[in-house]
Amino acid sequence: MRIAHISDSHITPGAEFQKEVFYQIVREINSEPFDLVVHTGDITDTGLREAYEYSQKMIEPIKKPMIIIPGNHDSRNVGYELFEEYLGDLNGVYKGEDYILIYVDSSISDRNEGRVGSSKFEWLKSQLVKYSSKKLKIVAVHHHLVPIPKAGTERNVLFNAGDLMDLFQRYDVDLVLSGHRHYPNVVSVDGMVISNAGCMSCRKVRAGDVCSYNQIEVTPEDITVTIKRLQSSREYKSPRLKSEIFISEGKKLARIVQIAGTFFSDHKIFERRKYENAVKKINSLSPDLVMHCGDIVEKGIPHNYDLAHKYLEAIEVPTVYTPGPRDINYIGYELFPRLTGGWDQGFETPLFRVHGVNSSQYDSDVGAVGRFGLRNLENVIKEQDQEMSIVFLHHNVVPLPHIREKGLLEDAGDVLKSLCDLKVDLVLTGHSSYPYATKVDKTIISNTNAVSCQYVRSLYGNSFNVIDIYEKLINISEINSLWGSKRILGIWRRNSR
Amino acid sequence: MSEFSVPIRQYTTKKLIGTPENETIQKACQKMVEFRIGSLVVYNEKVVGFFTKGDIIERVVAKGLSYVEPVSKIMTRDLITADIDTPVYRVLELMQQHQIRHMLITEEGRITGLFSLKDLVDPEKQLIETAISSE
Repeated sequence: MRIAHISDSHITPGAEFQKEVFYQIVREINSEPFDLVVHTGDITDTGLREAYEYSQKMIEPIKKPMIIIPGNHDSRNVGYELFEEYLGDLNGVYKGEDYILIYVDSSISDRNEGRVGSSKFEWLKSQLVKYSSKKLKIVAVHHHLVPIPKAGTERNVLFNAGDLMDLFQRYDVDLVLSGHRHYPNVVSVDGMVISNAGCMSCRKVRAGDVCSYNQIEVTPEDITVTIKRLQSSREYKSPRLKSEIFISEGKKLARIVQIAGTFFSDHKIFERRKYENAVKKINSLSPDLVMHCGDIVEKGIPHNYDLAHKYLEAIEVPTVYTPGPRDINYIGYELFPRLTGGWDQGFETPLFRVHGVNSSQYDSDVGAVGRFGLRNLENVIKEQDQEMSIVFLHHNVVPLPHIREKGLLEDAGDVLKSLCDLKVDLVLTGHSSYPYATKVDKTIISNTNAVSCQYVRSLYGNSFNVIDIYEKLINISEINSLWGSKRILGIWRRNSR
Repeated sequence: MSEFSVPIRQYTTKKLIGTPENETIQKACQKMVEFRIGSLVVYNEKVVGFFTKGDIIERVVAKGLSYVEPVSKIMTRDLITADIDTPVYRVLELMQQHQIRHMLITEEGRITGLFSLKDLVDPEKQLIETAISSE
């Protein structure tokens, strides 16, 4: 099955719209054996009637079955009402011979960010339930699920992107089609391919890029997405693998404990018993290293740091730290390095090298690595001799379930792309108090819950993560702080070198 | 839409830990301890068997079977399975009928996943445990 995935044409009578580029891509689409064309939104630039009339005329030469979904620009000026009049349903299901495509309107009138609201989320789930047995399941939504590189600040992701990713993975969705950020990008998230199309025919391209669209081919074995620019193309291939049986793990090489959100203070928000039980368990597990991913204290004041000093002494194994925003507010900025020994902490064994990155900013909830910080990080990763590289920071690099986007790094798209391109083995984060682990391309992303803070978002209660590295695989589990019970978050084969 | 009417796909673990059928019972048990899991699939080019902690107590410890026997001697061969698109309530009915807490899940006739009663019960249990031990 072949799909032409186009997006963000921004058709307008004005100079923003590159009509000749639009026609060239239409000619390519008509000349190739595509089964379906999917336009993932912002077909118009303004959402005005004249823009819809013009769009309707412009798409007439496309001689293939076509699904168009609305983007934020199409909903401007209450354009979503005109979308239905000129182009079709805002939400729906397209039934192919042996596949389904569910398309969803994620636009919010006159706002750039996106949302799949609770009733639409239930509708979407009901469609996935209804078509659960289909061999190929595709979802199209304008706003991107996973941060996009070269997107500037990462603030226009779907509010509930993490919940959607979780839902799609539970129902074995094979392919997600998105647009919005005017930069083409393809990733595989635990086997689910996310194709983000660039700008089809708008002048607003990023980083000196040119207009593009994605050609997608699905076979029973693979999904191949080719980013097709005017003068070049780049192919991305991902196997369709939804289940795996792990027979042999090989020798255990290392064990890492990942904690966050200790929240030391005299306030009840710090749950002393949970912390003490967790430390007993951590010591009994004999890890090679403990990595604290931030929010050590509830506020960065001297008394809390005195408590931190006392409580952290109970951990009997080497520990490295990266700060959360709470650790550096008030005078925490001075106290954090005195307690822990420095900002971007590292650790080395013959097998792996750990790179700590401070993503927190003084008196701000916004996390960022920054262009300078990211370049430094890339350089030290490239120079390391060890087989495995591990990066740890406080803020999230992918959206998590039950959490809006505020925990995401402002530059999550660039950071994620860079770490995946460098094939970093593990990225450990500690924002948002929710245990979660997934694999983006070759990089495993692990977020840990708060270990001893009352603010948790998981029904399983406070916990920390244990990462076991074997010769053949990596296993990540969460361990309940109070009871020590364990739940596997994910198992993946190790990258071959 | 009731959570019990959705396909079992929503709750299925699609990454299984297994052991070869010629592995000793002791080594297989060590793997269960290592991963802290309550069951293992037995594999020989496809899933050929399954056993749980309960089976070890009943078929090995209680009967005094040697730990160096292969797992093929104690595994369940007549596997009870449900298709991945079976509604949750139907899978629970089948589990009650057969008095089992783990159900192997198939897709196109091939075993690709596992549903454990524990996965449904754990969050509720956790809330109770946290409530009774709050300071």
